[in-house]
Amino acid sequence: MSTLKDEVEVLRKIPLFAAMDPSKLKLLAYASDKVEFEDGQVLFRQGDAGDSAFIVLSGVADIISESGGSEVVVAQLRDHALIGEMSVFCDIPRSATVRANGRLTALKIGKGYFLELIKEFPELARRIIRELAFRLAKTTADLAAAERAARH
Amino acid sequence: MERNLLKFIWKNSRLKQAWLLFVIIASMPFYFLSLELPKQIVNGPIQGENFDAIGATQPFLRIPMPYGETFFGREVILFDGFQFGRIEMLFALCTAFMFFVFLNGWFKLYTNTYKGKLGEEVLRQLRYTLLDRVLRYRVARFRNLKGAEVSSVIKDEVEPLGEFVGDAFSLPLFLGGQAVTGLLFLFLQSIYFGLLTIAIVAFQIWIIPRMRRKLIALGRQRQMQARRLSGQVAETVDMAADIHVNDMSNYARARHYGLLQSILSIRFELYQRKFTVKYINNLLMQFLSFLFYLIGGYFVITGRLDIGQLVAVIAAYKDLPGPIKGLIDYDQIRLMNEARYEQTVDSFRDDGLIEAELQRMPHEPVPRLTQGFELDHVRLEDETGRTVADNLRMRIAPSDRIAIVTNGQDAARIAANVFAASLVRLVQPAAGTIALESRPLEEHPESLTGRRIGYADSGSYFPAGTINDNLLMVVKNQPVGSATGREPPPQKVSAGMLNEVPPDPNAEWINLADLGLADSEALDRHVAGVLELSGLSRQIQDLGLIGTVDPAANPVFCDKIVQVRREFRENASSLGVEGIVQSFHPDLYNVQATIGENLLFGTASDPAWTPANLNSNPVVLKVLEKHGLRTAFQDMGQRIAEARIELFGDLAPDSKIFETVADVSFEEVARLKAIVARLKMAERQEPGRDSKTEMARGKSARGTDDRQEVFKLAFDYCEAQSRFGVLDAATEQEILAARRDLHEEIQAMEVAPVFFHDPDRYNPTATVLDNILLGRISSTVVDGKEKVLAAVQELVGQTGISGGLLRVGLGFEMGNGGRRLSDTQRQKLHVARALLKKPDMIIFNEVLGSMDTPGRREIMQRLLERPLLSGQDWSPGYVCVLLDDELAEHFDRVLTFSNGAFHETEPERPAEPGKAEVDGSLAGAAN
Repeated sequence: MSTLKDEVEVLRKIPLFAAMDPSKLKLLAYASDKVEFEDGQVLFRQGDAGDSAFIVLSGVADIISESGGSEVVVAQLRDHALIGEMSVFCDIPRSATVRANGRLTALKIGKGYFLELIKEFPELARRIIRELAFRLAKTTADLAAAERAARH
Repeated sequence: MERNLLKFIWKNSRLKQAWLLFVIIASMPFYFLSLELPKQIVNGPIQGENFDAIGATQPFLRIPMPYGETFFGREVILFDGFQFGRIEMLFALCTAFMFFVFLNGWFKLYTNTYKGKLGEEVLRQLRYTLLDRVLRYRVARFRNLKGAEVSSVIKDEVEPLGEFVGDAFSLPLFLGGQAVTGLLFLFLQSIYFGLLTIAIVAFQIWIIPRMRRKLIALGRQRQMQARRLSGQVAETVDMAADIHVNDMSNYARARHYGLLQSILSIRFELYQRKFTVKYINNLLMQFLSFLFYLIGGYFVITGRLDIGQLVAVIAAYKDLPGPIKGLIDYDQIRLMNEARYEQTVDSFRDDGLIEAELQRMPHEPVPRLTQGFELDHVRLEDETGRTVADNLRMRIAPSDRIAIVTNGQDAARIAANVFAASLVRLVQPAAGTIALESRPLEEHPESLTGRRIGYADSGSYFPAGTINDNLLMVVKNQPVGSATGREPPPQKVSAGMLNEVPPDPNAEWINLADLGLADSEALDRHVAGVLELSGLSRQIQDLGLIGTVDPAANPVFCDKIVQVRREFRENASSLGVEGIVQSFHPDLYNVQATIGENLLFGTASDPAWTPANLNSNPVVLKVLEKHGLRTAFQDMGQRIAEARIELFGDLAPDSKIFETVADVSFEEVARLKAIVARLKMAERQEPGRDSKTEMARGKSARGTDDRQEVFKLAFDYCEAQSRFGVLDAATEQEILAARRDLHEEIQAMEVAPVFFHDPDRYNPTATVLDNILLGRISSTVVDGKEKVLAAVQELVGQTGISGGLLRVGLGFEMGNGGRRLSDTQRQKLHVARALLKKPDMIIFNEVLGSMDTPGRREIMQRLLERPLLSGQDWSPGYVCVLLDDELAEHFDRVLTFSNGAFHETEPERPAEPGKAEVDGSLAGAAN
């Protein structure tokens, strides 16, 4: 059984939280639930209302886009990745289904607390924005590539 | 209802009043004897009257015949008595005196008890009569009736009447007799003084009632205001939520204060007048003695009256004021009570009472409906008197299934609501007639309408009680057996009272035969079927899971639960709940439970052993001390407090964290901060003292309290949840050892205050769910609780204990107004009640309005299946005011509202060849 101290050590390794004060990290560890998923278990489904964000501690998560009954794995996220933050920020339903690929351990942070965290730690916000910007850049590149592939 | 109080009392207790009077009169001779004897004792043996000679004797208990001389010219002695000497006489007379004292005391005891009982009996009769009237009010009257005011009248206002009843007739006769005797004596002594007394008394009799008129008016006002007060207080309680959300508390206070103030003024004026009347009364009586002394003295001094005569007159007079004062007081009480009674009766007067005959329990079986309703030129009005539908003419056969479609329009909905209500007499038609079975609806007894027609609307009120009580209430129409005999049951009379006694509420009231059920098991199945139809089964089963069961009363069910527990553990993986529930094991520490729970390893049936009180339980403390855990817990508490302060100490009071994730409040953290700071300070001041010795000595009260508070924290701590890392494996082992010792200590007790977790036994102090799980749901598993509940439901279905679970759930207390159930659940329960009595026709007036549309449609469609309940040949007719117009296609007839009347339209249904014609012929019956 891990104590808060162990969890703080784990959190400290996550780049997103690296700059945070240890005592605040402890609060984060306390406020979040460590949850475990079996292979194939779903973290959340596309279209659900989003009430929490996840940070992968270990394992792989498949991001799946569902349309018309067919599923497409659009991405795979690994250690220390942030998942489900879009619903939390924008109050929109989940844009994709996330499923554990193999055993997955994650930190589940409730929506209210997550927003509070960002308010209190601008550094965290900056890092999340960075992360999101990277993702946007990647998505844009992917889209351009896909368009190119479609045109040829 | 009798409007005169004395007449009401006489009517309801005349035999007893007569007996009471007889006993009082019979007791008088003994009373006078007990007054007479002391005189005889003093004059006879003590002063030695007639004992002049030595050895002289006197007769004791000599009885001469009354009026012997008048009739026979000489004294006739019936009994010569015993000849006693002086000392013997003293003993004999004193013994006789004691005997009469006892006898008088006994008479007093008897009459007082009798009066008290008589008063209570008449009071019961009065209250019963008032209640009977309330039950016979027409429903419309209740719209302007405040429940609290009615209950205040029935409960409080009539209360003083009970005290009056016993005195109502006996006291005035008794006192009047005394007063007349006194006056007579006075007249015998002196005619003039007699006349003088009569003049003053007559003046009193004339003046006092005049002064009391205002008093009575004030009494009435006081009664009205007190009644308003109870109405207002009840309203304030009912609208507590509104008061808070609208900041109306100060206005409510002001309103109450105004009323209280006016009650005070009325009461003050009442007191002033009451005591003024008393004062004048006393004054007049004293004035009489003043006249006696003045006039009498003047006559004596001037020699026109001899002194002996005046002394005799004054002696005769001294017996008079007592009874007269008593009579005047009695009259005051009588007047006040009469006013009170009249006021009470007036507020319960209603010319439109339902005939008592219509509510009488029938002596023959209630017939089934065969012809149904027939409406002829019916005009319906809403509560404001506006016509909502006019000229309604239609027939409704008992088997008809009629939908009333309103398209959500207000006018149509109101008309449909009033129409549906008028079919069950909640509304009376303003014109025209509604006939049921070819007889005007209002002439039918409630036994027919109430048992053969079911009704439910959007109401969701239920009295406090279990779900079962509230459900079965509607089939408790009349005790079983009272309907079978042809002869009316004998009018029961309670010990001289002239009132009718209603049957015993604990008798068997449910007539299974009338419901077409064989036995009580069939009733259970019927209830289960009805609840399933109304979509309540699962919800009530869930309530059953959080209910408790007494294994002594229900051993089979409890055994099954233990079996389910075993299956739940054995089949955890196939149920998909493996590893979610951490079971209680006698030799293992349960990480999902708190330290206190692990220590006790059971549930308490004694408050001293509940988790919150463990830290002050001497037995627990002794065991902890033995294992060195007291210090360990103190340390743990300290570290828990520090960890909480570190985590939450810097947060603002309005931080979201306190609302969402923290297991403590801001105030609690602040309190902990103060405690820890104080303890640190104490440590710094006396650094040499280690924590153990300090605790043992209890340095100061404050310090001991602080340490106790910190100590307490450890009991409520769960490592798996808080993860502060304060509980190590060694301490866990020590707690397990302490658990074993505690177990032994508790088992040595005469009555065990704790039920230990035992995999093979049912725990009566825990809920059914806790009994099945016998463990804690892990907090780290996603949706753990939901998964476990689903698995439990599945098992419950498999093992066939759903019926038992339903019964446990039916024992759920619904709370005040039924509010512990949701609106939807209560509305469903109303539907279930309408179905339960298996009526021939059911009228649903916009039922299940607070449900979601798909759910409501599902239930409504289910209600239209034939037969409605499997195994029972019963498919009732319906009149449904629909909330979902789409459902109309499932009905035989459809009514729509336009231009102030209902029109029959073809049910729109998916094309089914041949079906439309059948429906068309059915529909032809209506206009």
